[in-house]
Amino acid sequence: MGTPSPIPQEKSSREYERLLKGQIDSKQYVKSLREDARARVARVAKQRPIAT
Amino acid sequence: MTVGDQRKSVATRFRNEVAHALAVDVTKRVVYLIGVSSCGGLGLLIWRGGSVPAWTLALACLAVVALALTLRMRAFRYLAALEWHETYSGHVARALDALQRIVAGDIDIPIPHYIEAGILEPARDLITDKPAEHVRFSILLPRDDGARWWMPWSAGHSITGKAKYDQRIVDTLSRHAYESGHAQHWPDVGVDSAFRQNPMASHETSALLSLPLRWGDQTLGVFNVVSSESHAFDPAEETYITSLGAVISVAVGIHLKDQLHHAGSE
Repeated sequence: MGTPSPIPQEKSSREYERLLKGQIDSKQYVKSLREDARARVARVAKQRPIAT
Repeated sequence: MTVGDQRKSVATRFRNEVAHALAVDVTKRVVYLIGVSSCGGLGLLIWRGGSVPAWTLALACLAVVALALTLRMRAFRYLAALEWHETYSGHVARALDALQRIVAGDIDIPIPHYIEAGILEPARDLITDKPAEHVRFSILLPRDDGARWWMPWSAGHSITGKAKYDQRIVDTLSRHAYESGHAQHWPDVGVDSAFRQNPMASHETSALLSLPLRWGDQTLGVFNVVSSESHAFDPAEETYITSLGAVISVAVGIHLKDQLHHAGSE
């Protein structure tokens, strides 16, 4: 059994709260959502072993 | 198939897609190396007096480079598709989390604001692919007489168009989702003889996705997404919009229930 670690909060999660409070517009939120998605895919692509 | 099996199958598909993209990436590097070094060597050979075998090999090298470029494009497409899936699921996850916190009282904003600012507007920005494309989102609810629609929430519609929206339900394509309780997709509304462009609309409608908003066994209204381009919604966007429809159903259901509760207590 490994030690559990909390899933880090992504930028787009904080940005979503700011969007709901009217502090940023939807375009800024969408930009952070795209950046997080790109980083997540890059992370998965590095971690997964190549299928044989 | 159990929920666990479904989750496993989705995870396997995702893993295979990434693994495939990576495998293509490695192949690409090897092929590039062979192609570029061979081309360099053969270029020298041809320059110093080309022969038929040398030209044949040069052509083979060009074929290898072309193949490598094709593989590179394929890997790029896989990763781009994965990024879009992640973007869509990220937005749905944030919206669900926020709805739970609004209902619990952690976030103090009214549900109508959450629907427009938190769901419809970002989704419209994500779905609009081309600068010339005009995508509009709307939620239609029946008026008190049950015969006409009104548009309480929208994104991409003008304030006047939204306020004045007053179509007879039977005259709209939205009636199908409302009456059947099932999602409907028109890739090109122009081929449906029953379709009439809304004369008040600022942009033409070419593609339409219409989803029923359900609360228990009751259909509350519809969630419509229209585009000025025909065949505008691909399967990934269809899934994304359907997921948003489910979140909106819950939000609208809670909002209408609250309104009934307030009206009853006054």
